[in-house]
Amino acid sequence: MIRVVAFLSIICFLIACEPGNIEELPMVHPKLAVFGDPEPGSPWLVSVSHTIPMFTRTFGPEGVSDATVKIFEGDQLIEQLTCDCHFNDTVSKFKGITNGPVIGHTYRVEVAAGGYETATAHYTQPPIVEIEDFTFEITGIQRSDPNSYIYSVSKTVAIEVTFTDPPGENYYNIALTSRSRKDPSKEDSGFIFLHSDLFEYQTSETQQGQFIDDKNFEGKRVTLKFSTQLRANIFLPLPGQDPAKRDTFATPYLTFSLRNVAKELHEYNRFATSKVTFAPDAEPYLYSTNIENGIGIFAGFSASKRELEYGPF
Amino acid sequence: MPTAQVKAIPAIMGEVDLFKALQLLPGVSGGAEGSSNLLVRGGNPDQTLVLMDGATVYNPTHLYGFFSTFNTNAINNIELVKGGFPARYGGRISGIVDITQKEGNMNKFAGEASLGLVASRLLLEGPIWKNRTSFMVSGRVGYLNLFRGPVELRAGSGYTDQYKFYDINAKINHRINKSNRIYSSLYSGQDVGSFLYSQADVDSIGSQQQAKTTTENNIIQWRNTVGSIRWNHEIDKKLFFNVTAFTTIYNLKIEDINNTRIDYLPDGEVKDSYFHYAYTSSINDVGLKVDFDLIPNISHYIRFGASATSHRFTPGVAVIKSSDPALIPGINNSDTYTNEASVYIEDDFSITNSMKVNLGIHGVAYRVGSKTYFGAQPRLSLRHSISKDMSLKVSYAYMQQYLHMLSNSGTGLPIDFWVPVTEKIKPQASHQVSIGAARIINNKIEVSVEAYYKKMQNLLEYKQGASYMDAIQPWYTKVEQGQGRAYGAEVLVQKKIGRLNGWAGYTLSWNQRQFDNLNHGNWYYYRYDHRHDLKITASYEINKRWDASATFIYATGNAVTLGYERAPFSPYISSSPGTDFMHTVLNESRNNFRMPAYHRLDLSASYNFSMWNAKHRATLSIYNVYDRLNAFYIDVDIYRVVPQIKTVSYFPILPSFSYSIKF
Repeated sequence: MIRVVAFLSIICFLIACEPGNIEELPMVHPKLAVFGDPEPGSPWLVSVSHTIPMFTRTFGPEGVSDATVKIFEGDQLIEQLTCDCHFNDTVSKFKGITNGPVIGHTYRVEVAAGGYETATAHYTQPPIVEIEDFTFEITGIQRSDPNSYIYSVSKTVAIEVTFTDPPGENYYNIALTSRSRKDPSKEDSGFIFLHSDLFEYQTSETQQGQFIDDKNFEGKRVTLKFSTQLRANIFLPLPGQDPAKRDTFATPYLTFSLRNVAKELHEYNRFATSKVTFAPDAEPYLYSTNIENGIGIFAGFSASKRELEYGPF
Repeated sequence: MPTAQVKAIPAIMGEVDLFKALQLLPGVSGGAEGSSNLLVRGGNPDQTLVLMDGATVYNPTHLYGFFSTFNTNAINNIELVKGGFPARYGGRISGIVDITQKEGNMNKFAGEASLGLVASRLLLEGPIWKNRTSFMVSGRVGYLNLFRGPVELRAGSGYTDQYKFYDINAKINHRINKSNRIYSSLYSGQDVGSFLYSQADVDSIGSQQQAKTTTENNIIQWRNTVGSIRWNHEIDKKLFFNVTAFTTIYNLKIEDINNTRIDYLPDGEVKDSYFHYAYTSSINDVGLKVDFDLIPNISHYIRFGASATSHRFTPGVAVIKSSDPALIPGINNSDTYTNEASVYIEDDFSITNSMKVNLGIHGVAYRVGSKTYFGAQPRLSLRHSISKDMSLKVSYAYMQQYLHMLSNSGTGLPIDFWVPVTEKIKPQASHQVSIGAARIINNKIEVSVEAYYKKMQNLLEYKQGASYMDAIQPWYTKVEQGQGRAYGAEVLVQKKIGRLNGWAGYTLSWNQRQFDNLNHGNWYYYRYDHRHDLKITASYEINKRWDASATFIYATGNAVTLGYERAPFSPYISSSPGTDFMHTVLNESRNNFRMPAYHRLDLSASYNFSMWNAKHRATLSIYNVYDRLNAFYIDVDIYRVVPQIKTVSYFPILPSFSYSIKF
């Protein structure tokens, strides 16, 4: 009996060593949020914001305009970015004037601001993977009733792209973006659907295109097939209006991009685009970041592009 | 575990439950509060094989996973294996529960009936042909709807929930002659739960009035049917065999039926709209197995056999019918047909007078699509008696499992559905080693200590952000495979004889998982990682009429993922002017937060008496005596200045009464 009592006493002691129930959320110190996805040929651009405690009442992120943002290569300062700040910015944009990153070089960002720990991150600029062959073919057209006021046209497009995957791990973002003929500086994203047996288990269909790794074609020349729908709503002139007023929302300028992205950016993109399709019962998604003492992403991509023009509808 | 011991444990809502009793053993837990899952030594809920008379039962629960399907009145024997698996068992990697139904009384008619708050049961058994053929039939009916539905209707909430379940166990045992016997057994059970909502409003839009009637009915139902026929033949005193044909059918259906009718007054124009969603999932097994027992001499007991099973999985078919033609019609995860063949041989033999060994191998060939998986699973357990009162044991087992359960809630709800291995989704496997010692003190108290280490491979989890409700993506595009490890030590102190009997079980354990694409590829604690797990149960016979029992449970809280802050993010970093940045919960690691520890005390007292040639027993039970509000899940109370974690509990103090009669 003494042994039994001793055994139960030991167990009670072990149980008593457990931490007590936590009834309040642990208070955490806000961290800097840093975002940058540099591309060769484009000036450095880093956005800065910060985290907030779980249920602070605020409409959205706020910028940190008094931050100091520096870009280093090794220990050498390349450029200190200046804030292009405006009142009520959701994030503070810090811009550079040089031509941004060079392929194969490793860069570090350092962001300091009063009240926050200094946030840093580094990455190596990936090489461009050239598009070797590219086809863009309209395979079908669907039209709505041409007598209705809104006349819609939908075109099915088949795309094939061929490239050679460089040795080592590579990550790709394959996207189709469109620009308005009226305002070519305005860029929107189009859906692109990947059809390939190679990606049976990892396709994701998002407005930011496809995010894939090279596990299924590492170091090989590969041809990937895509299809997409190009849609236009054509507003017919109302009775009495000039027939030339027929308006179209067709998007004549298209850009197909094969982006070789840094691994860190690939992980972040997968996180950020998955959040868009958040479902209430969904499994938790961990925030993907490469920022030390902060959150966000600082990692680049290098793109090979094909400009396309089609239309009018 | 004898069924008498199960029945002595305090019952919740008057319903004695087999799996709740097994959860009181060290190394076994149910996971979430109220769940009837059996998680054995850090395993997942799907890793415990549940056999009834040799046939697999896939979802052995009633009442949203709260009760197990097994009617204790109909059970003859229960065997639980946690480690040192004999080679005759296969198909799961963490535990085996082998249940044998009663065979029926060959000599006289007998029966047992009981009345509880949520269910009542009746068992009848007796000879059909005296000393040759016997039967046992038992039924249970749940009637939670008798109380809840009318109460909610009267409350005028617009909601009504209805719930009913039943199960039937039957067995026929026929002795053909001295060396041949036939056993036929059947189990069938069904649950149907529905939540009905209806609302009628009259709105005015300008000068026009419209009467709007909305009805929504959410229905969940699942059914298990398990049947087997066994021929037992004794070739001679040293060799006999059993040939068993078995079938298992499991069906799940979840429906959402939504109808809206708008009457435009006074025009009389009527507009109807509807949305019907139906999700079905099923498994059908048909199989045949033969098991030989050979006893060549006093030192050897050899078992060998083979089995073949054909499985048909329908992992999930969602059908959407709607008055809105723009809605997608759903998804059809097409049927998967798989075939499984297995062989085994094991020998229980003595090396010396004090050392016994069980050595065996279990081989499997599993065909799915154009791929065949082969597995050779060696098993070894060794027992050494140091003295009359003390023994040591060591075991190793390699186990494989050719199906997975996709678990979103982990509560044992039937929405955790079964999927087979595929050409790309590999079978689960585990290596387990254990070492232990057992001692009997004063011929009264048994003390055993056992340590184990289990490594698990090819476990299945939903991908980050995946949702089981997503009707567009097939299941296999939403999953990840990874590994797990569980290790710890168990202590069991048990007293089986005397007026006071019972046991105390304690487990100290660690339980972790690792998936390349979850938790940034780092190891994390499994949801049911319980560092400490203590269970004490005791029964005391006060006198011939009165007896009492008590159970106390303590377990470390479950691990859940909780973000403490919000962080900005955007899918467009450089291309947008900044307005696309939004806030999201900053989850930095998986299962980073511990729910409060779980503890509970249950008490019961029974009064036994004889009347009308029958034994009567009236039992008063109190579940959760000190009304501990154990967390079922946690939420964050946003209406406080300082946000607080709010624990949501479903099981406060629950007194209940049951009455049984045995004749």
